[in-house]
Amino acid sequence: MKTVLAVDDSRSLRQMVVFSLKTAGYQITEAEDGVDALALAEKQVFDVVLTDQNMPRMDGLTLIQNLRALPTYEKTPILMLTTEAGDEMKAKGRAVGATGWLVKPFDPDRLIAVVNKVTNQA
Amino acid sequence: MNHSDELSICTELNGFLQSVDTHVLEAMADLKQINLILDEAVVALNSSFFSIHDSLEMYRNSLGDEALNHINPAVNQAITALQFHDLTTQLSSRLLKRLNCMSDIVKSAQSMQNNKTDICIDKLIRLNSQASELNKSLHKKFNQSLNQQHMESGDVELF
Repeated sequence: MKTVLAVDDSRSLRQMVVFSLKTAGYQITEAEDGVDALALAEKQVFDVVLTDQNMPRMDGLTLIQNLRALPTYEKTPILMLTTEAGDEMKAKGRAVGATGWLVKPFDPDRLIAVVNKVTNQA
Repeated sequence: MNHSDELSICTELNGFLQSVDTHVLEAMADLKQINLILDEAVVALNSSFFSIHDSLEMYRNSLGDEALNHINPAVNQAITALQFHDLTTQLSSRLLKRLNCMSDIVKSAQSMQNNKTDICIDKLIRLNSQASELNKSLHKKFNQSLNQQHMESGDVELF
């Protein structure tokens, strides 16, 4: 079973991500922000990381930078799932090594399709 | 300008500031109450949604294709719509920060009471500059954009 690390400070949003991806057969671990996510990622290698941008303590872009610095996460798909839809932010995401950008709110089928695609490509 | 005119201007200004302060504080209290109600509502909505879904899952095999063709899109729509809480929480948090800043500015301005007009004017100039600085700092804090106007799902882009 492929594993997903879902990072978001909104509990209800994490519930929706977990619900959507569980039905598609993924095993999901939740983190409330970048700091918690990084700690979890250092202990376990996830197949995909799905992260929000605006979170307390550590935002999504900083998390991606930190993850990409870990040898085990050099090629892991990391998707941003955020309310941010601006081109400038997307360019920053691409620059730090994000694999893709999903704007909230998400549609479960599209989320599953994207996660399937990036895990099959990895 | 005589002393009585100066007192009148300062009194008028103080009355206006007190009125603004009252509105700002009440708006903040209302916003906090909205957040509490929304938090409670979303917990109840999510819990009900998952309960209904679990019940449906138990009978999935006995449901016909026609029923499932109606249920599946409805479930997806509910998941998209239930993300409203994340969006509204971000917006209300920004609104609360703005109101807090406004309240700070009003409190600073209120300290002008009983001062002479020239001191009031000097202080107003400084307040204007303070408000402008706060505006810049808020703008930096809110560099993130949240432009969603509806609850349809957002764009997906793979790099």
